[in-house]
Amino acid sequence: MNKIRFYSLLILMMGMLSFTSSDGGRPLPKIDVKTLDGRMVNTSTFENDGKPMIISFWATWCKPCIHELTTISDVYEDWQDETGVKLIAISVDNSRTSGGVLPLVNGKDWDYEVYLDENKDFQRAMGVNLVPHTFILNGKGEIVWEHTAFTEGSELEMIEILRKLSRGEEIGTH
Amino acid sequence: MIKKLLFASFLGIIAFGVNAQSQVLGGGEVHGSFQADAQYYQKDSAIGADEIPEDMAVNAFLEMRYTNKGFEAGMRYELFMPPMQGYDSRWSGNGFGYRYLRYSNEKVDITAGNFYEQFGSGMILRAYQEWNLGFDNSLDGVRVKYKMKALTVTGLVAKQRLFWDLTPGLVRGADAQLSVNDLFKKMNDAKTRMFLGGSFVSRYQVDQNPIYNLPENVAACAGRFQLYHGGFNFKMEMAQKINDPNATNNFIYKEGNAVMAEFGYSKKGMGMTLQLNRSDNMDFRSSRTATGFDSHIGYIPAMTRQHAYSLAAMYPYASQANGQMGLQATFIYKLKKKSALGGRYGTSINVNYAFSNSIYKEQINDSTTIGKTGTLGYKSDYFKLGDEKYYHDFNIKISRKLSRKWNVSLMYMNLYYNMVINEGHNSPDVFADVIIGDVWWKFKPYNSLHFEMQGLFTKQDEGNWSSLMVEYNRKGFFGAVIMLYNHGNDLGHEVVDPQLYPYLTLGYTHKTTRISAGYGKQREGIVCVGGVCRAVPASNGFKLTVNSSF
Repeated sequence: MNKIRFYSLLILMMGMLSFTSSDGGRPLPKIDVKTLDGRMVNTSTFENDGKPMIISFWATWCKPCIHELTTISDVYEDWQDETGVKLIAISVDNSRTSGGVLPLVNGKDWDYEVYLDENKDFQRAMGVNLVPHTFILNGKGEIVWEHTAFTEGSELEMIEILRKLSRGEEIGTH
Repeated sequence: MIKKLLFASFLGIIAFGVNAQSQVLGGGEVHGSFQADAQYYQKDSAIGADEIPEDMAVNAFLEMRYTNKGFEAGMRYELFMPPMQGYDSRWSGNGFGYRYLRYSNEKVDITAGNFYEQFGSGMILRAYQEWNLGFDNSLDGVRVKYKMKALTVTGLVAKQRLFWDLTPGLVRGADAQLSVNDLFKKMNDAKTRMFLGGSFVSRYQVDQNPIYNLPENVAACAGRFQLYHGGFNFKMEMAQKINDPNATNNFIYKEGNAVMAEFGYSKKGMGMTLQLNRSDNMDFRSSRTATGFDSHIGYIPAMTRQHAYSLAAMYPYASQANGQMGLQATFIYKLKKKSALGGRYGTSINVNYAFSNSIYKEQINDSTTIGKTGTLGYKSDYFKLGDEKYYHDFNIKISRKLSRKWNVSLMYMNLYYNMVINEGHNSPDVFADVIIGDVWWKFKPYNSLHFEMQGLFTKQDEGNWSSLMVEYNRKGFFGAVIMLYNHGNDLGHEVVDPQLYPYLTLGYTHKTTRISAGYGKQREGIVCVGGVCRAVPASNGFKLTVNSSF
C-alpha cells in the first residue's frame, strides 16, 4: 500500500515534467498586497517604466533576508544608475511582527518599495517556499530569473543578470 | 531502509530536473513548489528524540497551481509517512489536503474549496499555514470578495481543516475595509491617510451537552482604525465575542474581548514603535472542545520579538488569548556612514523590549471561585494588571560593517519566562541572560566564513548553554558545523548532565532548488544556515531535505 502511495507521488512529479516549457518569462499573479501606509495594491500593477525589477521576499525575523537587503542597499544607487532597476521588497511578516517592518525599513535606511503580504497570499501565488526568495523581472514585467537563499556574492550574480537585461540580452531560463 | 534512502535521493534528482521556469498547458501556466524532508532516526532519549519503529520518517508536499487569465486551480498533495518527530501524530497519512478553484477579475474574486484568509490583524479570523511547523487551519468552503474604489467586502462560509478532517463547527464571516481617502476626491492625495474596517464572524456548533445550555451560534466582531500622517502611524483594533463556554476557558459564560494598538514614528535612519495589547477570554475556535493548537479561528499574536538566534529563541513566549496584557517597544537607529560613531559604513542599533502579564481577575461573588465552570467566571478591571508576570524580553543588537570584508553583530538579551504559563508545568520560572557574537568574513568574492558564538546563562531549567557555529559559503554551496553544549545543572531534586549536540550540515542551492543533508543531534528551534531560515524539530540521525519551486 505504501508503495502505491509513493509511486502515485512519483507519477504526479513525472506528469509535471511532461509539460512543455514556454520560452518567455511568466507574468506576475494578481494578488492584493498592502503598502506600509495601508493602501491595497495589486501585484499585477508593479512596473518600472520598461526597466528591470527585483522582487525580494523577506521577513523581519530572517537574518539572511536582512543580510541580502542590506548588502544590496550598499550598492543600490550604483545599480540604479547602471540599469535603472527598482527593488520591491515583500515582507511576509504576519500580524505578530509586521508592526516592526516600517521601523526596520526606515531604521536601516532602505530605499526600496516595500509591501506587506501578511497572510502569505502573494508568497503562495509565487510558489515561494523559503525566504529569502528573489525574482528578477525584465522590462516587460515577466519573471526571468529566481533564486532561493542569500549567501555572500549572490548579489554579484544578480547584477550580472540585470546588466544583461539592460543590454537587451535574453536570460536563459535553464 | 536502503530502498527508502534511494527513493529519497531519486526524489531529489527529479526535483533538480524540474528547473523549467514556466510550464504551459492549454494556454495557461502551471507553477508550484515541492518540499521533502526525510529523517533517519537514531535513538536518543536525552534530547527527546526517540527511536521510531519505521526507522525513517518522511514529510513531503507538492503544491501546484494552474492559472489561465482570470481562472485558477490549485492543489497540494501532502504526505506524512510517518510524520517526523515534533509533528502531531494525527498528520499520519497522505492525500490532497488542499485544493481549490478560483475566479477573479478587477471587481470580483470567488474561491471554492480550500483558502486562507485574514480579517484585519486576524483577531477574530485568520486561516493560515506554516508547513515547517505542521500547522494548517485552512478553511474549506466558499469565499467571495467584491472590490470597489474605496471599499472591499469579503464574505465566506466554510468548515475548518483539522489534519485530515474538518472540525464540527461551521464558520460564517464578513469583512469590510474602507479607504476614507478614496471616498472623497479632495482627500485622494492628502498627506493624511485613514482606513476603517469591520468584521463579523459566527461559529455554529450543535449543543449536545447534557448539563449546560451552550450557545450554538457564537458571534464575534471587530472594528479597526488606521491613520498615517507623514512619518507617524497609528493602528488600533478592538474585538468582542459573546459568551462561548469552551474547553480552553473551563466552560465559563463570560464574554470575551481584546484590543491591540500601535503607535509608530519613523524617518530615514530611525524608526520606533510602541504596541499595546490586552486580551480577555478571547480564545476563539471552530470547535468548543478543541485545545492546544487545534481549530483556531481567531489569532491573538504573541507581541514579542521573533528571534532567529537559537539560544535567544530557546524560551519563546506563548500568547495567552484567554488573558494577557502587555506592551512591546522597538527602537532602530542607524549611525551615519563616515561619522565618528558610525564608522566608514555606518552602524545599526536595534533595541527591543516586550512585557506580558496576567489580567486582573476578581470573584463574581463571595461563594464562586474564579473561573468556576458554568458561571460568569470572573470580573476584570480593564486597566488593571493581574499579579502574575508571564514574560519579559529586553534585547539590544548592534551591527557594524567594519570593512569590505568584515561584518560584526553583537547582541545582549535579558529574559524572564513563566514556566507554568508558557509550558504548563510547575518548574521554577527562568531568568536568563543571552550574549551573542556574529561575525562574517568575506575573504574572497563568492566566499565567506561565518562564526556565530552564543551563550545563555541561567540557574533555572536546564542551566547554561553555549553554542558555536562555523559556516562556509561558496556560491551555491554551504557547509556548517554547529556545536551546541548544555553545561548541566543541579536543580536540587534532579541533576541534568552536561550534553553535547554536534551537528554537521551540507547543502547546495541551484536557482530555486535546494538540497541539504545533516547529521547529528539537533534541538528544536529556528535554524538559519546556508542563506535561509526554517523551523526544525528535535532530531538525532541523518536528515535529507529537498526544496524546489517552479
